[in-house]
Amino acid sequence: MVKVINVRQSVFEENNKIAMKNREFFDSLNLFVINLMSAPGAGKTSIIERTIDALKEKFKIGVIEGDITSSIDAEKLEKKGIPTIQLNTGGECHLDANMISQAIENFNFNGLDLIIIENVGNLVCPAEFKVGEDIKVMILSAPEGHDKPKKYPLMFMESSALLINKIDLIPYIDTDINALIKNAKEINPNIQIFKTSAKTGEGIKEWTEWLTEKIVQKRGNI
Amino acid sequence: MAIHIKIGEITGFNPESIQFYFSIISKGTIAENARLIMEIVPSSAKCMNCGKVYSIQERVLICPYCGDINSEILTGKDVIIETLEVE
Repeated sequence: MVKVINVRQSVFEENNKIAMKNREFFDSLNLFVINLMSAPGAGKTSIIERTIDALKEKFKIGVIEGDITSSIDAEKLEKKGIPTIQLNTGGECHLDANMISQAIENFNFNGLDLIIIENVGNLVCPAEFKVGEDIKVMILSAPEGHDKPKKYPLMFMESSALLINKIDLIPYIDTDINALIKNAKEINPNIQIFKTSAKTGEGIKEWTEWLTEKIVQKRGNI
Repeated sequence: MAIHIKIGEITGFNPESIQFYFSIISKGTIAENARLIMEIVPSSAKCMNCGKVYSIQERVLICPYCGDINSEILTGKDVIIETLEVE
């Protein structure tokens, strides 16, 4: 005899539960948390450095570094005196809520205002997993091309802000920035777009002013 | 034996891959040879301005009725294990 068992369970359920717990923890400390995502080499670490330089007088900032292996990025940031915890996924192509909950156990967040989680370089999987962040932010470097929102829509859909980085390379490449913005806005009409260069510093002011507003909004509300 | 799964259209999951890996990991378990019955759930959204529900075409989240840019995604973003048929 065949028996039918109702399961009705989302495969994301367990991750979402842990993400919610992480979020409650961050909220209890009045911390603003960004989940920063991009393809490898788009400039996540350089943008983090620029962001910290711009905001360090206003906020105490910590970084959770996600990489498959190595601690190159964490060492780089620690040299600048930034509290950093390195997470090595050991092969996984994204961070999930459980990994962040491990970071929570092993890191002292007291006195911090802003946490930047640098996700594993990958334009696909990180967008699927909530980790307990307030907002997701993505970077696309200009040379990656204007068709990327059409090819990797989920990340554009999930992100509150898009930094088009390496904008200083525009004279040398064929990327059509207006088409890129149009493609991104079709998928996520509310996405905030900043044209940045971690190399020259262009656009960092606009991006960090917007971020400051977001942080103040949350911290004011609690 | 069968497992019914609903896969949202705008997730990163695809039925061929699920079938491929299921065949491998189920070997030697009670789930071996279970049929996977997978249904793609089309994506839809509700316009926050005019309130109309529309199906999302090519992932464009702009209301086709009034052009508003604020929509709430209703379906297509989840992967749900619905039911198990067991003997």
